[in-house]
Amino acid sequence: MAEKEKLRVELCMGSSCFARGNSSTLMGLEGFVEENGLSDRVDLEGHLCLGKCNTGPHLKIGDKEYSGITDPDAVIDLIRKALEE
Amino acid sequence: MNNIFIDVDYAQIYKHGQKIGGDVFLLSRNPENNQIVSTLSDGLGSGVKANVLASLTAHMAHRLSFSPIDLSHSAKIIMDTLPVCKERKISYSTFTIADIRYKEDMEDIEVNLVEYDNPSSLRFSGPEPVSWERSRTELQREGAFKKEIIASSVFKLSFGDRLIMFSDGVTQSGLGKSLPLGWRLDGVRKFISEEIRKDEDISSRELSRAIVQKACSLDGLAAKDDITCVVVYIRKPRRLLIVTGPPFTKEADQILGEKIKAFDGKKIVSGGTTAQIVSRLFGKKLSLDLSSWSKDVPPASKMEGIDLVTEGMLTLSKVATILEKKINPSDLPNDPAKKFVEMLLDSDQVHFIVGTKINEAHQDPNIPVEIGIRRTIIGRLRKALEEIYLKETSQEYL
Repeated sequence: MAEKEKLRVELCMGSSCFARGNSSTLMGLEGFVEENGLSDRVDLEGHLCLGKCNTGPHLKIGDKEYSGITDPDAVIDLIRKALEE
Repeated sequence: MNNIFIDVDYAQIYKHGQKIGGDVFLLSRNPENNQIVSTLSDGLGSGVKANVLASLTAHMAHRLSFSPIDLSHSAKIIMDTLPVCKERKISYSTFTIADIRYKEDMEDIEVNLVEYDNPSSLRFSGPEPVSWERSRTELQREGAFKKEIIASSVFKLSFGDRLIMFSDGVTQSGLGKSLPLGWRLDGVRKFISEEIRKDEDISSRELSRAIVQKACSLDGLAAKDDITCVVVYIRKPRRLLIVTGPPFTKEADQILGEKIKAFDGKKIVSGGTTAQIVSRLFGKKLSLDLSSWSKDVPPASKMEGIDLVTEGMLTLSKVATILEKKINPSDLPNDPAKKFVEMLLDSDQVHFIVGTKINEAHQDPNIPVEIGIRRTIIGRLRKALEEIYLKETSQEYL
């Protein structure tokens, strides 16, 4: 059986995005990945300022970019959806 | 900034179960007079009463050291002021005063040491113990049980030398437990010598900590008395460079790069965009490290040639708050702010290069006030470093 490709979740960790919500999002995602034993399916990756401060917090799930999501649960839902696809 | 630095620091563990100490340490740096005075006093007993007595003694000793009165005379005044305990017939507060004076160029460092009833201070040149002559003055006070002796000495310290002072909580540690007569002066001397041999350049902060921790472990990790140790170390200053904020003009990026390269000491880059500029200038890879961060402090990054790369404003603001509240780094969560504070405390001279370009997104009223104005935060940092931690700081704008 071919190994499924891991889902890459990238979060901007620049000051602005971190303060606007990616701090709690990262915390929520780390918890989600651990509780559901998804560390072999999801890769969390941080980035320095991506220059999109004005619309932050900025994040990317697979190749889809999202802006302005401040609720960790909403991000978790998006990841669930992406994993199902 | 000078090329020689007098590193004075201390460590203390209170008697097990006490929330306040009977050992009191005071330190003043008086750069206008080229003078540093350090005073260690141990009040009889422990807890509140001892603390009041030791504070009284330490403050008197400290004040008198800055007056033109000579130290032995000051010591007499203090002892005459100290009441003799009614039951025990001994005066209740010991002291060691080290009055350190130096010339502008730091070449000539002279110590005037006065010791009363604390264990003898120790001197080391590198790891080797140094013995020296003390002159003794006897005092017979009314109502006192015995003659009292003040030992005074004057000597010079040069590069690589140390002077170490401690309370009897150190020499008597382990008494009746792991060691029948306690650790004793010889044991302490041997331990210090070994510690210095292990790390010739161990800082006063680390060495004093190692000594009190060893003493506490000899007491079975429940200190039987207040344990205090002060270390004076003459050494090269440890320099730290903090680069934060992108330069105002793009042309200045190159200058920033040259300044970082030329700096002799440890280097911190604080700020994501600043780090990206430095990474581009040096052609070094920059990678974010998600392994340590906390709710208020974003993760650090790694870059070859830079000792610490952190996010900017949130981290700096957290660091300023930690310094202002005098929080011990060992009580901090494992995030980049902790590492930052540790590096600051392990330095003597801190130089800031502050880029003045503004990130407009930071002006958004919806984000935390911590993302304030860079210059204000640097001002807070410098004030805390100079006033609380007695560091030398300097800064330039780019």
